[in-house]
Amino acid sequence: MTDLQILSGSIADLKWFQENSSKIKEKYEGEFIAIQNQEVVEFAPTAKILIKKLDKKGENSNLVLIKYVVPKGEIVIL
Amino acid sequence: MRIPLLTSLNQPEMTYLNSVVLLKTPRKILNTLFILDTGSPKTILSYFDALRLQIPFNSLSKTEIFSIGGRKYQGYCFSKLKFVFKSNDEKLIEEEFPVCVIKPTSEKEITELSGIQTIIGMDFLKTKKYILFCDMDGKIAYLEKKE
Repeated sequence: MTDLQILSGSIADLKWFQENSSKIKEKYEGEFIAIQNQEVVEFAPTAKILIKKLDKKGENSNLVLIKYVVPKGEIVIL
Repeated sequence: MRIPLLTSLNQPEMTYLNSVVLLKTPRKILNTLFILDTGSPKTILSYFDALRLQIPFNSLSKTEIFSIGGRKYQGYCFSKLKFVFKSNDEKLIEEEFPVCVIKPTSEKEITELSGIQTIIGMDFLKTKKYILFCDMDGKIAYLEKKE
């Protein structure tokens, strides 16, 4: 897969997350999720566990988009 | 060439200027999210992304202390990082830029930092000569290289 293909896929995945965040939050709030081809392919309570799960499935975890699902009613500021 | 930034104005709690970037070191590649933070003077590689890139903290030189969320973290400098963005006309834009990495010292700090994304700060825009365009009402934001 080329760099351009990886980026295009992940930008589409991020847009999908933003457009469907309400539904995703209902199911995965407080979890780390892995998104591929506009679906949640894995989730875990910590980023480390999620990476282990992806590795176990044979995925290249460095190329999968990982996002923390902020719980409802919570806002992250830096 | 422009680097589009995603805004999500329908969900007020997600109104960030963010997108996806490929981060490359001489040995690793990582597909990850970044936030453009006009409140950050420095570009910061998140701890989680640093782990995934297998960046060797032991060989890095110390920088400033960073205060995030009420806690203070030692910063380290990593200079061999390449950012690869996708432009609005389907091309790749590559920028090499030194970043700061923050290192937690306890499991609690690791948990707190793991939800924080990589931050592109004002030093990146200034050094690499990018202009930030942001029209929140028009739902459009992008970075454009100054000619």
